[in-house]
Amino acid sequence: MSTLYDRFAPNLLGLALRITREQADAEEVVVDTFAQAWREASRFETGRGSVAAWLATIARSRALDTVRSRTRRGRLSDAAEAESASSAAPAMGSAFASPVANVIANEQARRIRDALMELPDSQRAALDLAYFEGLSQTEIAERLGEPLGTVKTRVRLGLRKLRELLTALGPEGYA
Amino acid sequence: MTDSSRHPMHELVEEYVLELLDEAERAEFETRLAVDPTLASNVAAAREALSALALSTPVALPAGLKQRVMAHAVAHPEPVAVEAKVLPMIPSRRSRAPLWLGAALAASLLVVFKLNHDLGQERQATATANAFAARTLDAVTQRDSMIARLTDPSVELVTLASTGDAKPAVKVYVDQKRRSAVLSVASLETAPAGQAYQLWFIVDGKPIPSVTFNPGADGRALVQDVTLPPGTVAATAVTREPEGGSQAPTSAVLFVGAVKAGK
Repeated sequence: MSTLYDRFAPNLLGLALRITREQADAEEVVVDTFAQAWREASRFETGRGSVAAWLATIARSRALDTVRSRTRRGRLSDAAEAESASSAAPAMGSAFASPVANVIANEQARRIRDALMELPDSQRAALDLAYFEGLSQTEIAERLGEPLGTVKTRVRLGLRKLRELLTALGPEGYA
Repeated sequence: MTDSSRHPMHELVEEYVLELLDEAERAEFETRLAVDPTLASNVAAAREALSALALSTPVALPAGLKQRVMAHAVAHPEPVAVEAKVLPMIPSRRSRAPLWLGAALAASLLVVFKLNHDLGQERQATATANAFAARTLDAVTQRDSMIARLTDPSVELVTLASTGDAKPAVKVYVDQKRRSAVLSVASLETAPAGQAYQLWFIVDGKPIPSVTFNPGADGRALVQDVTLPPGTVAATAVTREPEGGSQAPTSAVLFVGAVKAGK
């Protein structure tokens, strides 16, 4: 568990911050994510994906639940004005578990962000709304003012393009 | 393989991993996913791409977060009792020993106990990692076994038609050669209290009782290693029975499907 934490916690906290936009909530998401991973370790199947994908799925679900719960309680009024996850968080990589982990994580993140930048803006926007805000395709269409069919196409093509770009990076690119 | 990749479910991989499918679509997709290795591979690749998107912005970790994570995830040796033993070492005013000596001794003991505590945590972490690896290996082995069985040429997929609303999906993978079957259910409501669903095999025109089951809150159930009765199974069916099952059906057939002869 310690090894998993050192390897993935910086990325999971970044994901949780991007979705919840609040440091305390994001930290709770990370704590809950590792707790759930530990409880459900026996259900993890390596043939169905990597540990990274598994942990990301748990963290995203937890973070979206947190935001939805906050919304239901009507305490999201300041969220829109909150600092963005990237600016709210400390500088990337400034306090990783070790210098080696720091270098590896930053290099992988840089390569992945480079790949993301190759996606057309419209596809990246649709993917972001679906993944980080948990919106349905209908909601994305309303948010972007685009036809539903267009949104579906953008989501599909965006993710396929991302797969291709990451495949080109090789297995060390993001696993 | 080419035929498999032409299946319409392959067009829904992205929507599936982004959780954009509705309940019925998801159930249909996952039914296909269970028997289509190419589809499973595509889903895994899409999930990897999404995880890259998700994990592309690492940030600095606040102090203390790791301790909180470990405290929640791993049961480690409890330090409270150790600290309680240390407290009496604080000297009283009647003691001849100087205060700094008592404090230093207490501090030394704290360091020793802290070291022991850290060592205990390290051992616990190692045991945790080993247990995690063992469970992961076990899960992979079970999955491989299941895939091998379901993809065996001798296995026939029987989709049971609903006699009422067509929404639930009930499928039975019948392996006549090994005399076993696997039952897969999706979108089925939980049976009322005191009742359960029961699977039947029809042999020589007579229903032979088999396993009882109940779907989880998500409407899904998977029953492995169902033993086929002797004789040629012509059909399989599902009814709702008292919990524990019946020797003969006591209610109307909810789902039924024919098994091809000669398989």
